[in-house]
Formats: sequence, C-alpha cells, structure tokens
Amino acid sequence: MTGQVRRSPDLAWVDSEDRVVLVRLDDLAAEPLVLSGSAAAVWAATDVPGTVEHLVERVAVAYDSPADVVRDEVAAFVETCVGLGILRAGDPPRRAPM
Amino acid sequence: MSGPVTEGLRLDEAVDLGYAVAARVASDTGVRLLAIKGPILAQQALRSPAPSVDIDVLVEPDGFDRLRARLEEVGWHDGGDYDTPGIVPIHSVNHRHPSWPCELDVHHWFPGFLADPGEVFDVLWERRTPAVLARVELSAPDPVAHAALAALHYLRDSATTWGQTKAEDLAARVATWDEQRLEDLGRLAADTGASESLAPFLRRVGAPVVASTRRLAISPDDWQMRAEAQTRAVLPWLVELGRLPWYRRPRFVVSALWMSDRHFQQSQAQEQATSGSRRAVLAARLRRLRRGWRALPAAWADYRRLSGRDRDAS
Repeated sequence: MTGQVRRSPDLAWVDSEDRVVLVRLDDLAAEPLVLSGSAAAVWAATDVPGTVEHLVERVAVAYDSPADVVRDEVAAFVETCVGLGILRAGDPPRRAPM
Repeated sequence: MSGPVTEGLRLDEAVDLGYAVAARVASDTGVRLLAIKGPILAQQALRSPAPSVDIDVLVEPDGFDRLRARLEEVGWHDGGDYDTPGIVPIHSVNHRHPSWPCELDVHHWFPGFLADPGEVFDVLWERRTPAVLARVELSAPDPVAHAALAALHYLRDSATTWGQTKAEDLAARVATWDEQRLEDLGRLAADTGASESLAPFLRRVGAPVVASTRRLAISPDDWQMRAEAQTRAVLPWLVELGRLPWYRRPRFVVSALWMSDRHFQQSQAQEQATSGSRRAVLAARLRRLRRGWRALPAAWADYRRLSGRDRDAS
C-alpha cells in the first residue's frame, strides 16, 4: 500500500485503556467496530498521517520490537481498516490553486 | 494481531457514540438537534461526572418525523409504549438498536418549557454552544439554558428523593453564578414559558422570577400536577379518566383494566417479565391488576389532593 494512511474524518470513536470503539458516520447502518490489544495500539499510531512504513516504525517503538517483526501484521491491519472505511490510504487531495 | 471486530458495546462507550450518531442523523436530514442531559451536563459542570444510561436529544418539532424516519433506516427502531396515559403530553420517543445497550430518547419538546415547543427550540438553538463527544462536535444548550432544562427535569419529580437530591445538587452549583448570569437564567425562563414551572429553582438560586414573555401553549396545571404527584403507577390513568367526557369513560376503564394484547405485551416486554405463553400472559395480567388495586388508594388520595388544588385555585 502506497501513500499516506490517515483516519477517516467520518468517524466517531472512544477509547479506554485497552480498547477503541469506532462508528462510521458515513455508514450509520454499519456495526460499531472494536479494536483491542495490539489493534488498539496500531490505531493509536495512526493519530498522525503517515506511510505504512511510518506506522511500522511507530508500532515497533511502542512494542519495543524490531520493525521486521511487526511489519506484515501492521500492513494487514491497515489493509483491513482501509477496506472497512475507518482508514484512508493515498495522498490527500490537493487544494486547487487560489 | 487482532483486527477490528464487532462485539458488545459497553454502556459508557455507547452513550458517547450514540450522541454522535444522533447528531450525524440530524445533520444528514437537515434537522436542528441539541444534545441534552447526560455527559454534556457533566462537561458544563452542571453535575458530577457519572455514568449515563441513555442518549437524550432535543430536536426542532418540525424535523421530528424526518429525523425519526432516518433513525429507522439505520436500525434505530421506535420501541416505546405510548398508549399508557401521561399527566403531561408525550414529549419524547424511545429508539432502540439491537446492537446498542442504551436507548436514544428523541424529545420534540421538554416538559416545563410551556411556551410553543417550536418557539422554545428557537430560543435554545439561538443560545447553542459546541460540545464534543466521541471526537465529534455537537450542538448543546449553553450552560444557562441547560441548567434550566436540567432543573425542569428534576422538578418534574420533585416529590421524589431522587428529584430533590438532583435539584439541590444543581442549585448549589448555579447559586455560585454571578448576578448577570442569574438574571440571564430568569430571562430565559420568561422567554420559554418556564417562569412558573422553574420558580422554585429560580428562587432557590437567587435568580429573578420574571413574568413570562410568551403565550403558554401547554397547560401549567398539568405541569404542576406532574411535579407534585407523589404516586406514579395509577395516577396518570385517573387523571386521564377525569379529562374524558362521561360517555367515553366506561370504555377507558375497561381498556385500563384489561389492555389490548398488543399494548399489554409491549408493556410487559419493557418490563421483561413475561414469557409468551397464554398462561404466563394471563398470570402477568392478574399480577398487574393486583398491583394496581394495591396502588389505587394512594393514587386516589394523590388525585384528590392535586385536582382539589385546581378547584381551590379557580
């Protein structure tokens, strides 16, 4: 997956120590999604937009693990979340010149 | 690593998220909505932080049906029982979602604000303030208007320990406001037809009780009766009976004693007390009659006291 990964702006979400619960506001009929454990930790790493590689680095630091150990799982998580519409991938749309 | 899953929402999570859902439904349907009570009151320091059990919103009356239709589309179904009479008119409906552990109460007016509900909403909307729940910005009444609304909520049950305790806690907070803010509270009450209904609270906190500046659209007698009632279970039926013309009373009494199957099962579903068998339903009906019979003397005394006050005043 290339480009920046960022959180969807159409989300409501709450977090506690061990989990994050998200509701897609652009699809109100969808069930709320719960992220717990390491999934919640990866979500926390998406607070600033970045490439998947940036996320891998942040998660590796958070878990004090080599990047190679977490890379595949972070990439899979991002792909799933993009599919669910809670993360968006790709460069942000450019503003038209004034 | 685990991925996103759909599993049970906790109540505290659901309430905050539910406010955000309601606000989005309102925005999608072009309906003005104010998030009221619950966590917003705590954010505005009008009560201590405490778990809330449901989501409360006030919407402009003209948009009420439109908002509810959209809620139905996204799985929040109207699960309320509205056949049971109330002392004040129905002011809210209860939507439920099978995946959510809390109700969404949609109010189209708030008891105690006795001016026209549309005009009251305009006044409250004009004073709205932003609030954030579940990372979503919502509109809420400003602290002065919200204090008035909360006080009315508690005064409605002022005969109960709960109502008295909550009203006193709120009053202790509001009484610390400066004079200008307290005057604003008094003017707001006048501008929403709540001068009389809020009077005990206004006096308690040192705010002026100003004559209402709007024509009342809802009976202050109904409000007084609701606020001063000491019984709950049977009294609304007696009040409704007293309001009916004589020729409709026999049928009403029969329906009160022996509700329709649909109405009865709906009320039982809310109490979650009955399995669906005919025998169980019959037993539940008899239990309800026994409860009603036992509650009748106190309710009758309450009714005589409250309706006697009306006669004395006229």
